Amino acid sequence: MKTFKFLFALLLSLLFGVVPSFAQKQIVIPLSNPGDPGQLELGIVRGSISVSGSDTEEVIISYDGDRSMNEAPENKNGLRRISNNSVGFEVIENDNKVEIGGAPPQSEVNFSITVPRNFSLYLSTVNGGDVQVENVNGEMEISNVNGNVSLTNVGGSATVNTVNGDITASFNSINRESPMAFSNVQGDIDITLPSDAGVTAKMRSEWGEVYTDFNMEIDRSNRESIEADSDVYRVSINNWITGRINGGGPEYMFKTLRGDIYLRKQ
Amino acid sequence: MIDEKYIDLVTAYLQNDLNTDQQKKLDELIESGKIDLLDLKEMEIMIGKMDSLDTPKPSSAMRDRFYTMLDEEKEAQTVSWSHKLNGWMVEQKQRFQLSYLVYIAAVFLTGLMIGDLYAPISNQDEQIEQLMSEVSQMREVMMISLLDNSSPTERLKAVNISNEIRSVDERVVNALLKTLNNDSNVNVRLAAVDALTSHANNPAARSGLINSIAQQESPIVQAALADAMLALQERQSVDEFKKLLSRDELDSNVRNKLENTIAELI
Repeated sequence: MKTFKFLFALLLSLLFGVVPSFAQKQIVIPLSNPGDPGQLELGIVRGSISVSGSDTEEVIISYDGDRSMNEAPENKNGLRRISNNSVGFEVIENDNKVEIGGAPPQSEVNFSITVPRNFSLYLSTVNGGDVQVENVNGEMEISNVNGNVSLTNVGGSATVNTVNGDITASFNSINRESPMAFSNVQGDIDITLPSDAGVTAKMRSEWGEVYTDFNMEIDRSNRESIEADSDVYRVSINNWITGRINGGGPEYMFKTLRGDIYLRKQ
Repeated sequence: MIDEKYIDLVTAYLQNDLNTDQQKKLDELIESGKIDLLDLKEMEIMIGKMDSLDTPKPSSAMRDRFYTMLDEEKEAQTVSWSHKLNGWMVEQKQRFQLSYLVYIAAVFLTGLMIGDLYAPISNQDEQIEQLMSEVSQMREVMMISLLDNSSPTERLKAVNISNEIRSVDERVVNALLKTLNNDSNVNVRLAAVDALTSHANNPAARSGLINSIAQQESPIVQAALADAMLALQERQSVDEFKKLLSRDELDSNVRNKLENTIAELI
């Protein structure tokens, strides 16, 4: 299996006399099996991620490094600075799996990536930006800490969590078998599902409210039920609102501490 | 002698019962000499004599003889072979019906015994129980293998399956605890908290939840553990929550929640 390995160490300021402060660069990664579904893994500490699906057979990675993060003087005592700790990362492609890693935590990078439509995404960032995905169909595992996550026109399944940030997702198709989960601490969760989605929604907002325009069979009965038959003893604690949409299906969990939950019909 | 074939005519004449046709025919026959008038007259006279004859009365001896004979005949009838045969046949018929019933009963009982051999009536509940435990075991195996899946959706599915296992054993509890403490996905860990809480009758699950509190970095999981401990009224968790509270980086919402939880538990 052919493996592409790209190592980029960008010497922004020194090699080129004058460099725009937001240098937009692009890398094109060909896939081992063009046309087949693939996946993208990207975890950064500082920066934003934006992924969009299009009719392409390769992965196009655009990024910019924020030069202003490096506050060290470029010339010191008559010497020029040749060290660089702004942007550096590594891209590995193996069997349609694209992995972007190795970005130093102190540098901020903003990624804008174009992938084929059938791609699974495993994205995470911590500070400094949002995660946005549009027009992609696949499995999505997305986490952010201080920033929003928005999924637009996506399909498949998703598990999304943030700490301080809104979660917005609109699905135009869902995987009928897969459960999904959306959780955060502070921020709203706003999910739009196809009107014929058969799911069992399990929702809880500790200090917020839950809203929906789906016809939901809501089961609040098991707030706290203790089931003691023969030797089996089960406690189900439930401050959860459990609602079956279109007869129910895989479990979709929505949990926030300090935000509202909106579950919308497309 | 008068010819036999005219006897009807003659009898009718003798009884004075001739119609005109018959009278005519008789006259013709007499004229033609086929019936001798003398013979006819002789017969007429004889009828007249017979009428005047005394009818002899039966004697009492005759009457006795008659009844004796009747009795004899009756006696003969009762022991007659035909009667015997008849009786025997009725008897056979009854015997046949009886044996037929016995035969039916025997077949029925044999069927019952064979049926009992293959599906003992008293063991049906046991078999259902066995089947259910097999299903439960299958779920267990499926769940444990799914928990190691690289896809977060599959792991979420696995945790949800564990909610359907009625009574969990050590293997399931250990697998869930491993997930709770090590899974990379916050939502999967969150689901594991709920799953373990619903199996809190298992002491390993309960103590595992308590021990996990101080290990959790995610604020939403910390908050979920606080909910779980409150639902289980687990006072031993207080010390663990205090460990979390001593951390400076603790989310302020979670800090607030943990303080409330501790206050309610004590």
